[in-house]
Amino acid sequence: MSYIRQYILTIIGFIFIGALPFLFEGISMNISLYLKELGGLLKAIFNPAQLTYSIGLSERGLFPYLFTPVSYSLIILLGSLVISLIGAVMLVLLVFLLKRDVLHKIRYSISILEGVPDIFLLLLIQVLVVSLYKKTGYLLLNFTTMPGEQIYFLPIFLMSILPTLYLFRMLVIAFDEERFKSYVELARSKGIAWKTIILKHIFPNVLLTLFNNINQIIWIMLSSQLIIEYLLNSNGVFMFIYNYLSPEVLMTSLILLYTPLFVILLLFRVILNKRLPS
Amino acid sequence: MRNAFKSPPFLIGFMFIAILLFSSILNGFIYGEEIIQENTRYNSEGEAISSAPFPPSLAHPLGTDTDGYDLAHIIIHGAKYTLGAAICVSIGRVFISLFLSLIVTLYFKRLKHIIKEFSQSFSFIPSTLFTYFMLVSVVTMSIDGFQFTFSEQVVFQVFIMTIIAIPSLTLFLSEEMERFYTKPFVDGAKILGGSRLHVFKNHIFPYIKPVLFVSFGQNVVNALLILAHLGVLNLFFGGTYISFSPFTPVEKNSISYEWSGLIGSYLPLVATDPWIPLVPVLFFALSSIAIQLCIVGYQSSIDSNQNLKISKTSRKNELKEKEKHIQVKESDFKSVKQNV
Repeated sequence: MSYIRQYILTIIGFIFIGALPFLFEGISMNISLYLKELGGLLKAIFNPAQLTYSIGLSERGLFPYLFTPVSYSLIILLGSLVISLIGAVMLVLLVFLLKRDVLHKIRYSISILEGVPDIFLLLLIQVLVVSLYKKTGYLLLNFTTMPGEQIYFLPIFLMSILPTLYLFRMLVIAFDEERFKSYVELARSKGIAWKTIILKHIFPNVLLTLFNNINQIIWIMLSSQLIIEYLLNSNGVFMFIYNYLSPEVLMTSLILLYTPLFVILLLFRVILNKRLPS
Repeated sequence: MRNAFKSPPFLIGFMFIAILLFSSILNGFIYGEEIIQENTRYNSEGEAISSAPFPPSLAHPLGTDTDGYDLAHIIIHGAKYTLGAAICVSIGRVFISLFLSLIVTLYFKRLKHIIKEFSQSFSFIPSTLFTYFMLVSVVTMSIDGFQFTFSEQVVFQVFIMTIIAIPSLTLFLSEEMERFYTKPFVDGAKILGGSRLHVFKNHIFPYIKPVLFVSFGQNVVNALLILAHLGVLNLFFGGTYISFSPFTPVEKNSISYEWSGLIGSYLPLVATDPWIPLVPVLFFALSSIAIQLCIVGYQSSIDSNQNLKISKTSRKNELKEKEKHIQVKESDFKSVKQNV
């Protein structure tokens, strides 16, 4: 029940956000115009067939065209989320199994790397690829997209670099806190090997902490997805919003993007809750 | 806070930002709006041998752009706008959220989960897209020129960038406050007659203060990231100048040499002269890393401070233990005969 309320409140939030540009007429506030636009959006959400976006002077229906960019962006988002999760978990398990004491030392220092903006990494990779191509004639990665073409490898690769770092830091902190808890001590005193303790006892608990912070990770990824789609000129939903910016387009795309994410997160939560009664 | 200056990472980060800001302000007094320019290079006989852009060299440590303007000078010139904006945005976010979270925790505790679910919608929209959405009609130049003055646009952009993070930051701060308001010592203070203001000032604020410093740093980094992203999307801080002149190709320029504008206008050069767009992006990265260094240094100084306290108390405990362990001998006791 609380999940349904959360979903509805978030959708209402999207409607409020969608109408926000009308709150400011130029740089002065205009509340009556905002309320009017809010009403218009509310009406529009119940007649989705009549939603349109405008190219130049002509108007086209949002549906069913919008499903293509949304599903493309979702595949890229979820793909890079899964890859960075796997990458971060493998990294932290490696560190933990090889050298436990390093965890405490790198706890703070890896958060320095989080200051690196995604755009810096993107440009650096692009410049390196270009200069490699100029020197050897070997094109490592292709940065241009033909119109209508959908590329998957490059955006997923670029988008999973920074989240892997974030998740790695989160996992390091969680592991570092978890390993001094009393149940670990008990398991150690019973003579259970570290490997078993980590995989069977610490890891599920850490996953739960990770899961509580997944919204933040998704938010960071969405921010850089906009820039990656712009730089690669790909046909994702954020480029669609950017090109045909209007309250209806923003609201509908956000709802379409949020709904599958919400369902997936809900499923995971239900599965985790069943496995961990606490 | 004073201890933080003793930790090397904090000092390095702080010095980097301080020097950049200071030299940028000083530069305004010396050069004004002028930028060092070298269009063509001549040999000793006065013949032109090469023309801009020049790659990084001794004369131009970061190279020059296509018009021969010195990039290092441009970066220093623009630093005060970009860093200043990020710092202003962050201060605004932290202060407003502190105030709101105090109101929420003290008076509207029940509203909190509604705010929480409502602000979820903000966590599924990229903040860059939202800022772009709000600003694009105000900051972009139309063919008739800007609608608003430079300072109006700057204030409006800072305002928008401030309010977008307030829901989530308020939520975070009120959750942190709640953690301390449920501690027994707060109950004690209330029972002894402490007013709400007194309890907050003397018992909660000391714990919230480090949280505020850390979230201030994080918000500076976040604001810098949004500025860099907006630059990529051709929406520059203080206005995007578009030259509609029929004689030149459509160019989008920043009107103040601030860094996000530099990213936007240099980005097309990435394939030909890669160092030109890399320079402003590099400085975004360096300043964000400097702020992260400050945060790390601050956090570790707090940690070592606590360790110091712990070690002091543990030393006291050790003394007590020693006192306990002073051996008791048989001669310490006297046998007393009881008179029946």
